[in-house]
Amino acid sequence: MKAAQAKRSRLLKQGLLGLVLSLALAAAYTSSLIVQRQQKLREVSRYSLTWFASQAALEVSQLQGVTAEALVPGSGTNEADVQLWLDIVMNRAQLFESGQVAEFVAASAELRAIVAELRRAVHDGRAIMEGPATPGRLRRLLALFEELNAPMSRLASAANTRGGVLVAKDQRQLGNLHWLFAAILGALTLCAFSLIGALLWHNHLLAQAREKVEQQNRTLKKRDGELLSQNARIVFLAHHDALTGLPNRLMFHERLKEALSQEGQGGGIALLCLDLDRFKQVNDTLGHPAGDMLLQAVAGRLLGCVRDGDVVARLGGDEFAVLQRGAGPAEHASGLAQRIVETLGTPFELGGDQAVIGASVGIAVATSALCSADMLLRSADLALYRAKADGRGSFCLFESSMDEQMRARRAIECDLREALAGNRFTVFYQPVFHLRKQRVSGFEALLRWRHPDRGLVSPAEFIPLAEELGLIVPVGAWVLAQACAEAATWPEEIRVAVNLSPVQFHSPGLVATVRRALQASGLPAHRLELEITESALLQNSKTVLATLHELRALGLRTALDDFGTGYSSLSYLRSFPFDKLKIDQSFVREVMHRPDCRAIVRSVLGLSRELGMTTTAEGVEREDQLDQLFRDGCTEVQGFLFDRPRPAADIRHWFAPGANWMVAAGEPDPAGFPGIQKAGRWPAGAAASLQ
Amino acid sequence: MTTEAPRRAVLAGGLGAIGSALARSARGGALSSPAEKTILTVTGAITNTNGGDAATFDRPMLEGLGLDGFRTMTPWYDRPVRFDGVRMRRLMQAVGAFGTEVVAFALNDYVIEIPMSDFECHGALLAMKRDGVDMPVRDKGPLFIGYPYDSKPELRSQQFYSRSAWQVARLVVT
Repeated sequence: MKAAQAKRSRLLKQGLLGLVLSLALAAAYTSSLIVQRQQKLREVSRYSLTWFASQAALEVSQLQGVTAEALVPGSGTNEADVQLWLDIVMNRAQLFESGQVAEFVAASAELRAIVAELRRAVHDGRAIMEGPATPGRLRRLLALFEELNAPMSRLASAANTRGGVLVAKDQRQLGNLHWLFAAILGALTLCAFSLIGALLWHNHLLAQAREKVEQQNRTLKKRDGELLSQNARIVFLAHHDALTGLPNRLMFHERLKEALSQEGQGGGIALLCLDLDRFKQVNDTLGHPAGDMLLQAVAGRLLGCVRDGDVVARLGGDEFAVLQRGAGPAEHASGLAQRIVETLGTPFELGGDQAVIGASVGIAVATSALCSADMLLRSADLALYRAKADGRGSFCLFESSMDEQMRARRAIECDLREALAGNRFTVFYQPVFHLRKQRVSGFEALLRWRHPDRGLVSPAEFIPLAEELGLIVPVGAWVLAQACAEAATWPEEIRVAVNLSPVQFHSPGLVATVRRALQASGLPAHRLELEITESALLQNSKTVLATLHELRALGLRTALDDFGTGYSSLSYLRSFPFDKLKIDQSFVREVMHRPDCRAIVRSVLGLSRELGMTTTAEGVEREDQLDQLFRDGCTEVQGFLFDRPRPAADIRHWFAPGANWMVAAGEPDPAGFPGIQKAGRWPAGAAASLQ
Repeated sequence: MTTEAPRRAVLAGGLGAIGSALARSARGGALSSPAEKTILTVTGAITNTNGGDAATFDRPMLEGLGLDGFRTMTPWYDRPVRFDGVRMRRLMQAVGAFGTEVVAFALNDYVIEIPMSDFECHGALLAMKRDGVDMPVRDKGPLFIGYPYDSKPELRSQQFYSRSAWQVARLVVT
């Protein structure tokens, strides 16, 4: 269609050009025709031969008349007059010799003869008049020219005829020119009309093209508008959370910076960071659409809590933030936080389901020391962290001590990483006694960190942090490898027990790590015991079960650590395969004073026995405790009563032939348990009773 | 023309010698009388005369008015010819002509009326010589009124050819 139009347009242009050229050619030809016509008209008025010839005849007869008069005496005409007329005729005769008259004469033999005759008569006449003045010379002259009368008439009539023919020819040519002229004029008119038609058609095409261009222009404008609105939408999306329509982290950050630069350090700005409690549970139990609805509802309630000028943003996930402007003293911000906690604590209706969630809020108020957006956000986050730690559904105002704690935490984190890289960890070993066999049956490997500045750091201090940072996995693997390697150097009947942190237990490479440690050390698997806390079992039970089975398939033993604390579900004992239960030291410590503790310990021991599991009592510090445990049928014990954890090099004496707990008790004890020597009597009796 | 001429004569007579003197001085002086054979006589509406109503000229007198000429093709010769003589304009000044036409009378009784405008516009010449030679009666002489036919196409027409009188002997200004 476009090609056809272009072709038509091109043809039209060529046609127009052709027409204009035709017009120009026609005009040029017309001009040349006009010149021709002028020429023709001029030729029509050419020198008149007829007149010339008739004048010649007249002059010849006039000469005769004058001559005749001169012959009559007293007529007043003399020979001079004759001479004059003879000259006049001579002049005429000469004129026949050249120019247009000569051409006319040359065309006919008869005319040539007549002119020759005239010439001869003039020549003879002149001879007569120039000769002697004889009396009869005028008569001879007269006779000479009388002979010319008839030929001269003949000449005049011939010239007349010739003139007529020429006039007719001229008229014919003029007529032809006229018709040609008329035809050209007709052609010109036709051309002009064609040109007008072509121009009209061209204008029509141009109008069409213009209409099309305008339409395209309109379309382009529309597209432009669409693009602009799309652009605005993109800008909006870049700065807003798509789900709630609240500003996102990027925009909130900008707003926060703006507010800080506008209000300076006036302290009128408070930043509230909040996390929803139990949001994940809503998502898991009611589904993501419900979770989305909940977030939208939360956004709505938050907006209802703030004043105009405050900014509510969703930073991501279930994190929200509020920028409170003109906050004034910290109490105002706390009031808002309180309102938020209360508002979000009210149950939500989510399409038929009811969800109860809560919120923890961290508040940071801008001060002269706390004046950058980043610092404020970090501080509010710290406060939020603290609020969460304090218990859900609460708020906490940032204090500078939090920052110090955080800094200290950071320092430890740094040191931890360095320690792992710089091999600053060591493993201590605490002996486990087999009560019936009355000798050391194994050691529990315990991680120790020798800090270059702070000395030995408590595991309670750094293990949670290592778990949080994920460092526990490589650290745990290291401990496992160390313990296995060390145990491989021990006598064959001595086992080693290694603790697995929940994080480590759930890490994907655990079984491979254990297998590698066993292979690298050459330690038989049955000499390795892995201690797992209850908290590790809380999550996905299928995976836990699979892991436990895999570990046991290696040939090693598994122990349930710290039993009796935490959830202590009896179903664990039924669901999961354990070789041993370790009774938490909190029960052991009270076993002599509180009957309930003693009852619990005794039942646990009985239960284990029934289920075919051995037992280890932790934290045995006194002889009476040992005695009681022995009586209740506990398999093994460990605690300061026997020895505290020591470096690998310091436990070698346990392996000496005949070495038992009494040997150990005989050693000087830096921890200072004086009663241990008195316990020296006990094993004999106990052993006896066991025998 | 018959009523016009006497009135002018009366006018001229009425003004008397002063008018005549003024006219003469305006035309560049009085005409002398021909010493040789008269070849041209001018009469009619003229102010300068040298014998009754007529101004007569012999060959030297005409030559004394200033010779001028041109070369041109003509219907009567096969080749271009040169004519020399007095410009008709100059001659009319010399005789103090105040008419609109000049009637030329030839020896062969040919008579033709020529508008005075021809003298101004077309440079008409009263030729005395053809190719440097005095023209005798047997060659259009003694005087021939010629035009520079080559200068304008319109001059190559019957109208101007018929005004080209030869053997001119007398002029009457009307």
